[in-house]
Formats: sequence, structure tokens, C-alpha cells
Amino acid sequence: MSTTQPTVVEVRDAHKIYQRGGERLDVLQGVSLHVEQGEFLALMGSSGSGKTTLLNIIAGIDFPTSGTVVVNGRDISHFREDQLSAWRTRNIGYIFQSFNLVPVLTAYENVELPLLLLPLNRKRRHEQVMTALDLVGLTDRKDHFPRQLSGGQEQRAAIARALATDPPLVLGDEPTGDLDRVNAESVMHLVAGLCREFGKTFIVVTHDPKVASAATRVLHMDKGVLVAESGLPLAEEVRK
Amino acid sequence: MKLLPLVLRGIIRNPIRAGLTLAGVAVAVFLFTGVISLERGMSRMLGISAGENVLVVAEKYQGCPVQSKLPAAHGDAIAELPAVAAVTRTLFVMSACSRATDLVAVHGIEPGNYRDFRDLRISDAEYAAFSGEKGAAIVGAVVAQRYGWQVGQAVTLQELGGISFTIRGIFEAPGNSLENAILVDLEYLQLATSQPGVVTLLLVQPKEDAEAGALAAEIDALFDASRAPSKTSPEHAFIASAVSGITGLVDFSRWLGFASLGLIVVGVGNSMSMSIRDRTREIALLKIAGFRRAQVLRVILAEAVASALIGGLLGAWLAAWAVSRSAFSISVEGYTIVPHVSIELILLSTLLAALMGLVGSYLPARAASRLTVPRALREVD
Amino acid sequence: MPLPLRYNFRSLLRRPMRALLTAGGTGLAVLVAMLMLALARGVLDGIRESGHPLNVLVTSKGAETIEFSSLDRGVYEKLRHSPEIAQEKGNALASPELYFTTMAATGRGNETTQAIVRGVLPVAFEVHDMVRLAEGRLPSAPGEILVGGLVATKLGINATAVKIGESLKFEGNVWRIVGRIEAPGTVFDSEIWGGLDDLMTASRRAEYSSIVLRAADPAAMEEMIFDFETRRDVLAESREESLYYAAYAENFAPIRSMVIVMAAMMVLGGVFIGMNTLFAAVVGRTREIGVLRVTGYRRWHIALGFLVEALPPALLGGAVACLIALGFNGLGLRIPMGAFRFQIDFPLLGFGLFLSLMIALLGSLWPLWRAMRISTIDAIRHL
Repeated sequence: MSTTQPTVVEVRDAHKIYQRGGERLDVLQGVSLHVEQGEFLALMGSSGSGKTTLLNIIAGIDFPTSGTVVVNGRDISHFREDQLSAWRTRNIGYIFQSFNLVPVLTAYENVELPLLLLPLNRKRRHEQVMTALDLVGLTDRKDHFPRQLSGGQEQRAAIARALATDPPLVLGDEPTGDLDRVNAESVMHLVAGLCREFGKTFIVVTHDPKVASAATRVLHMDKGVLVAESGLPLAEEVRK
Repeated sequence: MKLLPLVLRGIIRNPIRAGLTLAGVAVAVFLFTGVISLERGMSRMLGISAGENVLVVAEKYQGCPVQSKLPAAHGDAIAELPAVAAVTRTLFVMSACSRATDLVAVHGIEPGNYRDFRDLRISDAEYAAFSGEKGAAIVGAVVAQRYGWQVGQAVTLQELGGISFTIRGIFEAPGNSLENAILVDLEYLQLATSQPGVVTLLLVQPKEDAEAGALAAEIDALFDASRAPSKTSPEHAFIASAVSGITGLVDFSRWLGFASLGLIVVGVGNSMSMSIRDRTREIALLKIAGFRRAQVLRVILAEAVASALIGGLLGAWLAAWAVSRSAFSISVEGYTIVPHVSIELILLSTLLAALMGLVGSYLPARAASRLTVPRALREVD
Repeated sequence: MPLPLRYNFRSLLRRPMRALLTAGGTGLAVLVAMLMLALARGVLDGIRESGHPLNVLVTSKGAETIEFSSLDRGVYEKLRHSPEIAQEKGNALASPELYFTTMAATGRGNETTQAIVRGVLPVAFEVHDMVRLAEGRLPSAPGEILVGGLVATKLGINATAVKIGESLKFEGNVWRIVGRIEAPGTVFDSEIWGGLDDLMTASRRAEYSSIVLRAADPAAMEEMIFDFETRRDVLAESREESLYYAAYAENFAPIRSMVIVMAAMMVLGGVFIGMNTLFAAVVGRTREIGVLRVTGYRRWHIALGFLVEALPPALLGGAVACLIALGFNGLGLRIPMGAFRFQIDFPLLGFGLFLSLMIALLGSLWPLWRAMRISTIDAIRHL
């Protein structure tokens, strides 16, 4: 493991317990994780393994019952909700499997959404939106509504939105899950490439071995704990 | 109907929506029933208070029946007429001509034959005690309850110049405005109010074969040239005319009833339209399962009607309860109108609610039934 | 407000049917509420405003209302010289009046309805200075009468039947209308006025119903009333005219409570409809809310957006209700012992719009709470 890059994510002994209707679920049972800047990390595991929960805790959408989560040097495990919201806008880009976009807003307006939370003037904001759209190749479709976009184009718009605020960390929860093989490949290529180009850290929850094979590191989870790690130098060669 | 479980499941699926729709219908029907109950109260009062075939002789030209004044002697002249079976005299003493709050009304009557004209539910013993004593009174159940009066109690009314009497009995006359009155002996009242020989109205019972219209004209002809000309009319018409001042308000309130029905149309229509949109998949499944367009329509409409029926029944029943509990009444020209909710009105309100639910949901339901399977499955925006 | 308004407005327009129906529900509720309030206001104020603050009403002892009052003419003679009475051009402002209800018919017709008649002297116009002769002239001969603006409504007949030149039949005589009086917002507007002596003769009455005295000033008025309580030579009662009409108006207080209850019920019905619609919006867009939250939008941003979404249908409904309500302006309605006119003025219309906002607000409380309450995690897991 190279120690030349700064640590972006540091999770220490994270536990997550849910109480659902009298039943107690131990979703995460002591997970520790260390992610360096520029890594492309794939989280794999069966349903209920806790991988999405871990992702969401890193994203600041969920919080650990115990343990710490330090992202970009800030311990967000004890942030209040308001702090987390503000923090997320600048630090996280999140891509869902589906229904990423607000249906009544155009691609442009969807990408603009996180920027509206920042103190930018109209010109700067416009520039950043156009830059993001350009990066994903959707400039000509910027005024289309989601229903007028294909599945692949929708995901690309989601990527643009995730990148719009130039966050250091991009997260995806099965971002290619709803796409066909061709689209999945090109979308994954796009987002991984952009992350690499701009030095962003990319963490993805996935079932897809193809996605895993593109990652620099793959972690496997089962029943709330990390069980295996595979980060083969071979993967790096393949990527290049 | 074998579709019943499907329909009920549809209602329960979104309990908040079902609850809000039901609540809205209930409120609207509560209002509707309340409003119509006033109208019904008026017709009921008219029907019961007006003696059958009884003619009322009042002062000619007098606009306010309570203020009619005729000489008691007129009664003797009327009794002489061949077509007349019986005559009784009454004197009204009241504090105001029109009042919405408690009206204190004292009627001076002739105990001897009054019960031939009015259906009073009272024990013979109590009535006899009353008839035999000059300063005695029998009071209507409503008045007795309002002031907490008991039999044997001596009362002096502060209003009306301090008339005193001893209560010898409490009578019931459900639906009759009379339940709000205090009955005393006519002569006693005349003396107490310094109006010897004066009566307010005379009630005339025509003989079996007599023609009411002709008799009325005959009576008026008797006194036409006298110093106290009369105007005789059937009691039903007389009371209707007396309370006609309130018809303006009653008619207006009927529009309020229509507005509340409109609210049901809008509320159920909106609710169904939202439900249908949420369940386009389910509709597609129904069609795949073999349901035809008409059947799908029926299921959806049944759901709307069921919601409206339940809400309507709730609202109507609540209105009935509220009306029975409230002391609300309007007094017009001495006649008291109390809102009345009958089983028939509850049924009417409930059925109207169901009908309005049907009307409101028809268009959305029809559109839904026409959804083709591919469109429905696509969950179009 | 970072969440763009166009998000909420476009979301609203995406479901036009429910926006329209919600507008309809709100509109109905607001329309009814406005009309009911106008009714209560018309009935109660119409009586209450009939008294002049400096007038003293004299009636017979024990008479609770003018209709039941009977004053000897001598009383008037004794009272008219009181020093406390205001003077106008040397004449004491003391108005003896006859007041009675009768059954009247139009000149051509035979159907009689209740009418209110007041026999007055010309001084009545000074004492009741809210009454003015709008058209025609004062009666100068027996058999001539004036009619108030709402007489046609009171009698339940066409306004053309009470134009100047037409006649009315009552007390066994035919009376010619020679003038029209106006006294909007008072009981006098639904009355028939005629010469005092003329009407006393025709109705075979020898006594007055009341005497209305205008005091020179408030102190004089108090003197007058106090005087009455102590003097023995006059068997009568006096009170401030405004108090009399205020008390009389209270007779109709149940109408006011009834009206408020009805309006409140309609409003509640409107609230339920609006609440149902907004609930569907919030629940139906739970996932969308989640996406916005992940992006960094706060709970209250999103809730405020939904509130904004609830306003346009309500305001539309309210505006249409106001337009329809205007159509009722000036409409006359018969009530017991009188009539009144619907007055749809700016304060009432403003209230109507305010009420539509209130309906939107009340109807949004529960759905907004729902929208606020849901955690980001649960929201993105939805669907």
C-alpha cells in the first residue's frame, strides 16, 4: 500500500445498529477502512452485507452507532444534520442506481442543483454547470428533461451533477445496475476516467465483476464485516 | 359482490388518503344534514302544530300573529254558526315578535275544550288539577327543562310584567311549538295583563261535512263591519304565513347544502384521481387477469362509492347526534322551529354522499378503465 | 430559498387535475365562508347600526320591544319641552312614532305578506338622520307613503311593484307610493313610512308606539334617562336607542354562531382536500426528497418548497370565489322582521383571500411534518 497519497477516508471500528420494530439488526459490526486519494474502490458483497450502509456512512447520509468516520481530515461521525448537509454539498458527489434526476428539471437544472447551495454568482455557476455537462458529453442535451434522455444519458447527467461542485470524493450505489452491458461499460469508463483525471477518490458499491475489475482495490463484505480484499497490480495494468 | 374484497383492499391500502377522504365527506355530510334539518324542523313543526281542519280567526290586517287582538265575545257569535262544531279562545302573551333565543310564551286557554284542539300528552289528573284552579299552569316539557321547573312550583315571570302561576303539570307535545309555552287559564291571564275580554286568536273546529273555505268567509263576514274585523284561515296556512319571515334564510341555507355536496364531488374525485395514478400497475394486472373495461370501471367506482357511503353515514349520524344534543332553536312570530334529523334524512344524506362520490370519480375512473395494458405497465408520467 | 421555485411550480403543473380540484375545494369553502359572514354581518349590523348614539328611545313601561309598546299622546306633550332635547331651527328633535306590522299586498295583487309600517312626523328624518329621502317627496296628504330600499325584498315582491306611483294595500286601504327612502344598513330600509296621524287613523290606533328624542349632547342624554327613572308624572321607560338596537340584534346572535360553525365546517372540508393532495405529493416524491437531501438541501428547504406548492391552487380557488361572491353584492334577503342586503366589500374579499391562504397552510401542516420528519436514508430507500 502506497503511503505517498493523503488519506481521504478513514473509518475506525464502525458499528451500525438498526432497531426495526423491536428487532435489532447489526448491519455493521466493527468495520475499519483506509482509503487514499485517487483510489477507485469497489465494495462488494451479498444483500445485507452492509456495503451500502458503509457507503452511506462515508457519504454522511447515515451515521455510525459507534466508531469514527474521518473524511478529508474531518470527523463527520458526530456532525449534526445541518453540518452534514452543508458538508455533503462540497465534499460528496453521489450517484444512485436509478431515479437520480428530478423529473421536472432539465439536465442543466439538475446539474445546477448542488451549486445553488453554494455562494456563487450566476456566471460562475453557469460556467461550472456547462463544464460538468461538457465533461460527460451532454452539452447538446442540457435542456432535455429526464424522460427525454436514455438510461445512459440519465446516468451521465447524474455524474455531471456529482462532479458539479468539484468534490474530492465521488460515491456510487450500483450506478450501472440499471443499464445494459454496453452502457454500463461506457458509463463506468467515463466516471472512473474523470475521477482519475481530476484526482478524485471514487468508491462504488457494486455486484458487477466488470466494475470490480476496473477498480484499484476491491473489498468484500459479509454480515457487517470486511472479509476479504483484492487489489491486484494486474488490475492497474489492465486499466492502462 | 365478489369484488367487495378487492374494493375494500383498495380503500385500506392508503389509510391516510382513505382517512382524509372519509373525513372530508363526513364533514360535508354533517353540514348538509345540519342545514336540511332546519328545513325539516320547519315542516315538522308546521305539520304537527297545525291542527287538522282547524281554522284560526285572527285580527284582520295584523302582521304579527302574536299581536292580534279580538274581543272574546267573537267566540260566542262564531259558536252560533251551523257549520261550527267547537270554538276555543286563546290569548298569547310574549316578549318579542321574533327572537332566536329563549322565548317566554304564555298562552291563556280555555281548559274545557282546549284538548279537543291540541294533542297534549299529560296525565288526566294533572290536567284536572290545572283546570280546576285559576292561578294554575301547565308547562311544556322544553320550557320546564330549560328552567328546571317542577310540578307544584310557584313561578313569577320577571318578563311580561310579572305574571305568577303555580305549575300543576308538565305536558309533552313532540314537534309542536307548544312545548315551548306555558298554558294558563284564559280569564286569569286576561286579568293578570289587564286585558279583560281580549283574546289573540280563536280556534274553530268545523263540523264534519262543513266546507272550510266557506266557513272562513262566513266568519269574516260576521265581523267585517264591526270594530274588530277578523281574518280567518286554515291553521296550516296561518302558521306558514307567520313563519314566512324565515323562509328567506332557509332557502339560502339550502344553497349551503349544495355547496357541501359539491365539496364531496371535488374531494372524492380528487382522492380517486390520485389513487388511480398510484395504481396504474394494479389496473394493468386486473386487465391481464381478464377484467374488461366495464369491470375495471365498476371496481374503481365501487371504491369511490364505498368511501363516500362510509363517510356519509358517519357525517349524517354525527349530525343527528349533534342536533339531538343541541338546544338550538329559532322562534319566529311565536312559533319555535327546532332542527330535526329523521332516519329518512340520514338515509338521504348518506345516499346523496354516495351519489356525489360517484359523480366526482366518474371521469377519472373512466379514463383509468380505458388505460391499455402497455401504457399502464409503463407507468407513464 | 435555494430550492428553485420552478421545481415546485413545475411539480404542481405536472398534476393539473389535482391542482384544479384542490382549487375547487378551497374555492367552495371560501365562497361559502364569505357569504355566510356577509349574512351574519348584514343581519346583525343591519339592526345594530339603526340606533343613533345620541337618541333616547321612550316606550311604555314593561314593553321589551317597540312592537309591544303603547304610549299615551300626553306623554309626548310632556316630553317635547325637555331642555335636554336638541333643537334644530327652533324645533325640538322629538319624534313620536307609530310602529306596527301588517299584512300588505301590491296594488294589483291579492297575496298578502308581512310588512312593517312606521308612522312619523317630518322630524323623524332629523332624529333618524341616517334615513334620507332618495327619490320623490314626503307624504302631503292622507293615503301617501314612502318605501324603504328593501321593502320589495321584505314583501317578497318585484322591485317594480314599489316604484313611485305604484300602490300597496294594507289596513283595508290603498296607499300610493310618493317617495323612496334610503337607510342602508339599518332596519328602516325595510320599512314603509307614512304620516303619523294618517296611519293612526287608518289602523285605528289611538296611541303612539314610541317617542325618539335626540339629546343635545351625551351629558344631556344621561340627564334625560336619569330623569325618567325619577319622574312620576310619566308612565314610560327610556333607554339609549343604540342600546335598544344592540340588544335587539342579540336576538339573532344564534344566527351568528350558526354561521361561524357552518363556515368553519366548509373550511375544514377544504383543508382535508388540500391536505390529501399535498400528502400525495410528499409521499409520491419521497425518493425525490431523498435525492435533494443527499445533494445537501435541508429539511426546511424542502418543506418550504412544498408549502409554496400548496399556495397557488388555494389562491386560485380563493380568487374565483371572490369573483363569484361579487355577484352576490347588493342581493337582498328576507329575514324575520326585516330584510338585509349582502355587502361584498373589499375587507370581505381580502378576508376571503386570507382564508384561502389559511386553508392551504392548515392543510399543509401534517404533510409538511411528514416531509420534515423523514430521514435521508429512509427517503432514498423508498421505491
